[in-house]
Amino acid sequence: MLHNQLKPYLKLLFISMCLWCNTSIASNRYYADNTLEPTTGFAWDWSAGAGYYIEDSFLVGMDSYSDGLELDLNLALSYNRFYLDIDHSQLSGGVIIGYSIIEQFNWELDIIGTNVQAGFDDTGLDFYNTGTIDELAGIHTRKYDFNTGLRLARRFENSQVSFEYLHDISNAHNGWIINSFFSHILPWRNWEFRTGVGISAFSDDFTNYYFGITSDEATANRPVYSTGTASSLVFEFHAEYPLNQHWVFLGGWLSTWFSDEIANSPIVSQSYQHKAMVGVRYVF
Amino acid sequence: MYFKTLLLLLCVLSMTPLLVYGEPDERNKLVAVPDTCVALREGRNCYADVIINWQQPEIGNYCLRDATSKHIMQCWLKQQAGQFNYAFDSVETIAFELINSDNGKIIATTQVQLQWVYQNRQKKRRWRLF
Repeated sequence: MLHNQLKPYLKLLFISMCLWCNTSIASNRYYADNTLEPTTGFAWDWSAGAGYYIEDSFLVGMDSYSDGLELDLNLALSYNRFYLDIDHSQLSGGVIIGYSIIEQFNWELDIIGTNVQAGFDDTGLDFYNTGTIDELAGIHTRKYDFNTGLRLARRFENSQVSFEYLHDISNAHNGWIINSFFSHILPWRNWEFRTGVGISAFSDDFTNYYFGITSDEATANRPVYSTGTASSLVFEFHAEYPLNQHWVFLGGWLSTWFSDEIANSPIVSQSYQHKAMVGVRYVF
Repeated sequence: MYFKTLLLLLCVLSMTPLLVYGEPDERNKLVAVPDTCVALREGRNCYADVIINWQQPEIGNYCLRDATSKHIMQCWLKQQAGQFNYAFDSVETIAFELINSDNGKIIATTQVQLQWVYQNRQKKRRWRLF
């Protein structure tokens, strides 16, 4: 329904993107070539594309090998030390707003705001799915969170290590999240390979909000579940290849492994999640 | 929904040819194919296997050379046409010249242009605290 309402606007946005021309650079806060550093005045760039993905979701009742097409829209805006970065070029991407406090000798300290966990309800995690999944029927809606906090990053030539301490301000779970991520960019001939590994920790408020089961959600097959702080390990690999001056081929793989606190939840079917995608992107 | 997305994608794809090849120019007797090498980022080396063909109306002695360094890449004796396989590995556009090796006169020129997808933005490194 929502998608149908948005369709004309999405189409208009996509067509206008095709007609607009601007220089562009890659951006992802986890990688050394991100563009979230301070620039004088207003700057922006964007890119758009589409890809085919296949995903092995961790929620019970969801198709363990769902696939489909998804848009790859990227927009980076900055004004002096403020920035907004909507990045879906890589599987670890997302929406982030930030303010650069300190930037010196390849060290950066930023105040950031970002979403970490996608919300879900009894229709699962799939944005386009509107039908109830039997195994999830009766659970409360888990909202998308929005977290603010500090991000400390150290860049090397093609590598970056970053640490984030975030706290939910959206009144979703009201908990904290700690992210650490190491990434490396490896060029080989005209290819570029990007790899990253990250470890995250989630407060008990976070874990219980998304993966706990309250007494009024409990059923015969879904017992009450309450747990403590949890963690996850993330690995991703991406490959990019220029098809011409504007078109880029990209492929990527993202794997996430969850600790027992999440894996043992009655609404979680497995302790891991994999996602792979291939696509093309137009860079303006 | 997927069909329409795909249709839009194909529409955009059709606006730009995915493969970049040089248009043969009958007047220019020296042709490099492909004539463009695309690197992902500005400032990074670009790699391409380039075939350089030349053709002349008369049999003669000809040499192919780098137009900037004047380095001779290959010479042909008593030939009317030739081909040279060139492993392009450069951070900038490279031009080539076909010369008459008897008198050093430049007969034809061509080049392999370098393009990139992501432009490097000048990074401003400075100490800032609020």
